[in-house]
Amino acid sequence: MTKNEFLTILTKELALLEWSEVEKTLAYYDEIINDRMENGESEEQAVESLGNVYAIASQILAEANVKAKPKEPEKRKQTSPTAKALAIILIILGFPLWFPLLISGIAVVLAIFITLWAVAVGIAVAVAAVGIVGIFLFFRGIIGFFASPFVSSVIYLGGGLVGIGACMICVFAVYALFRAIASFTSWLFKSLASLFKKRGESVEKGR
Amino acid sequence: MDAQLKRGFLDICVLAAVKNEDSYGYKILKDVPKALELTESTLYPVLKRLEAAGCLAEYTVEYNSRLRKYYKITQQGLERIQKFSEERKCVLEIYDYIQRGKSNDQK
Repeated sequence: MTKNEFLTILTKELALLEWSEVEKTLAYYDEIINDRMENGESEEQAVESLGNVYAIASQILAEANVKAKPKEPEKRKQTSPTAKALAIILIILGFPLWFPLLISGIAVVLAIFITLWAVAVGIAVAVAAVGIVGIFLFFRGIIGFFASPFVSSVIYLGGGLVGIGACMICVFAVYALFRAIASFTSWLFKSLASLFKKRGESVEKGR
Repeated sequence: MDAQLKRGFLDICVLAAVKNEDSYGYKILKDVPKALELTESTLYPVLKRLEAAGCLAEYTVEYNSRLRKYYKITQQGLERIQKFSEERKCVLEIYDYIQRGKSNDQK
């Protein structure tokens, strides 16, 4: 068996555990196998000497369960059928209330995103427009030296330069704005995700 | 060696293995007395337990372009070794008692 096969089986067998716990276990065995190999063992030997993967996995699972047990699993089992039924009834009865709330919550979050991005895109377009107009005026001014009166050409040229300059400065501001919105977006998603993850974990621990 | 007796020594021996110098999984396995017959799968829960109890602290070091976890003993771990060592006298007394029982039988 190769190291990867060993670690893959271990990952599958430990699926019931929290991911952070699985990761720690994988890191531990990965390190040990690497150390054994560096000490002259073949990959096959190194993996073999650890013993049976399934036995290792079930031992880890058994130890994890021992820790979770002390929280009166008996009591919970007795109350859980009625509590579950009650919860289901409440969910069904509450449907007219929570469903619109859920929908409006999603809508609000979506609206915030759309608004933010729309404003950002709008600003970006405006900056781009200033830049493009600036370039046009600049060239109009240059061409004007041959055809139009001198004074108006100078005004065109100057206006064009001002536009291009303003655009260049604003590009940095727009870039910062986009980054800020992007980081806000990822932050919001992360905090929403962690909200759900935390709930899941506490349920696991309560068992 | 008897399994129960081994279990009693396990935690202390692992602590002793990192007492003088921070160590990592593979090295601890090699350093600990052979009589304990410590294996990878036994060491893992011991390390976890000791860390949860605050007897060990861990940190990660890059080694040969991979990561290696080092374990460092804490004050609490040192105290635990100290306490265990203080019981040495009692253990020896028990052994003496067993030994005496044996010689009485022979008489």
